[in-house]
Amino acid sequence: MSCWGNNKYKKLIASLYLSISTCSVLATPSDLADLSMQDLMRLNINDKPLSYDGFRERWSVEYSYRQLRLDGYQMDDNSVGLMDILFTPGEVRTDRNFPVVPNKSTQEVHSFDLGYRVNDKLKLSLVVPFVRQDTDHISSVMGFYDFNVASSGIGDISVLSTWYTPINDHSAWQITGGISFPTGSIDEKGDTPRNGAGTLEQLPFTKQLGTGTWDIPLSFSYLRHYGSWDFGTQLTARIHLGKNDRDYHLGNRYGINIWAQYFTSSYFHPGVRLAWQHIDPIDGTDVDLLMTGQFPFSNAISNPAFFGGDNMNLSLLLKVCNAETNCKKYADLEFTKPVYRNMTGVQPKEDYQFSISFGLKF
Amino acid sequence: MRNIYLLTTLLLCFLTGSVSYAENPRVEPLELNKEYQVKAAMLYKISWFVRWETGDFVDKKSPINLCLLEPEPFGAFLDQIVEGRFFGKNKRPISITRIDQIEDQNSFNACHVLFIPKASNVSVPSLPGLLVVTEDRPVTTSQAHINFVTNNKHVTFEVNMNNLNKNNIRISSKFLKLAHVVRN
Repeated sequence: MSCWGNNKYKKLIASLYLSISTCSVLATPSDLADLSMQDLMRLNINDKPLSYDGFRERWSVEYSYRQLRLDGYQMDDNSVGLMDILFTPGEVRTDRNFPVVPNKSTQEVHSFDLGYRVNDKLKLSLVVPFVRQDTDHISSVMGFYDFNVASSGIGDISVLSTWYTPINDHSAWQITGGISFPTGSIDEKGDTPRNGAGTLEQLPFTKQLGTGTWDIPLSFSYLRHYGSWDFGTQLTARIHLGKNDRDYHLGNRYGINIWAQYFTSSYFHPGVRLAWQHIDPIDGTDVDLLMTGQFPFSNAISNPAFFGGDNMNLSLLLKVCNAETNCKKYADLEFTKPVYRNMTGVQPKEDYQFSISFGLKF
Repeated sequence: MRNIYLLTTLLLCFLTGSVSYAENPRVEPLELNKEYQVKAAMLYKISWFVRWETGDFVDKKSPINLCLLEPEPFGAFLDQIVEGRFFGKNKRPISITRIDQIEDQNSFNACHVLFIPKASNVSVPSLPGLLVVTEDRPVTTSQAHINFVTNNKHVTFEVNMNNLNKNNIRISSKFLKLAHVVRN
């Protein structure tokens, strides 16, 4: 007996199932019996669920480029103007205004991912990121009214293991866990106003290239293939173990996301993802970021308490590949905009994220 | 250093866990491959297009009997397809009969539809009112009425009009539009 008892739903589902695409996957006997003879003749009998195609070929390589753009500021869940948080001489200094304000920031990550399928259930991956950060600042410090600081280099390399457990022909569990090694630098320096011009000072937490800690990235996913659609939901976490050499660790991250992707008969497969994430504050602090006096932080991003919070992002997805060849060569595009942010204290405001990936499976 | 010890322990647990997981027995694949799932659904659907006569049945409530020659490839999948489903205004149920031994042509007397799998070497019977469906046996060279044809991706079928007429079986024109119709 099908799980859709209602005839109206059966017809709706059967229509979805109809598969304009050539990549349909069969469901229960009852689902099939609800299809017309014409629809049965259209079904591709060689098809496999596309979500799980990482488990078909032995090797996979992927290059991805991700860009995160920060522009402006917010205080808790409200936007604030740059002048509201820039401390200028004559104003009352508080813990919510600063002599230095990083106003626009771009983070770029080039990632190289090598995957090896050990067997039908286990896949290992090595991910090597190259990180570049570039930040424009405004300040009320003479000689530093506007300046730019950049850092770049290898980020935290991680090794991931993905376990794949099919529930039936069209759904599966997937668990990914691994270790992220503290290979990214946490000692990046730049010429900031803290000690005047011509000296290099320690850059704030988020301007570093790595976390400095051994981290455990985890995810637990439920994948479902239905007709021409792939659906999924995923629980994610990134746990920082202990503190780094500078005596802090970034806040742990916990999230959940749901997504859907439509596989057409052509090369273009659009999708959408909604993701919620909670980020803890930074535990500990980097003493090299502190100034003497009543207000020890020269800018908001040096304050470990002003880190983390809750946010929700909406992503538009586009996979470009030939479904007829099981997407062995593919490109993934993703554009993300925040739809809700309630961050702790004063924090830079995320404008957008964009990523593009090229992959090959063999 | 404490972190490195902790991580090493976690790494060992992690890898040990993954190896033992990987050695678990395979989850059994679906009992029936997709080709035969589609053929099973088509076999069920074909009966809808046949214009059955009252005289083809014992009474108004007697079932349409779908006979499968062994070794039939569908298993429980076909039983699940027909379970709880009824035909026409008389709401006839569908029964499935699996035939192991064939004494003579009388073995098919109770059948309305007979499916002969490609693994069977039985010659195709020709009986009035008995719709014979085969797979991978061209209808141009057999007595069958309908033959499933599988190409690389899809299941289609061919219909022999001469054989249908010979056995007084009438099939809807809607069905014939979907089929490759041959006359020999």
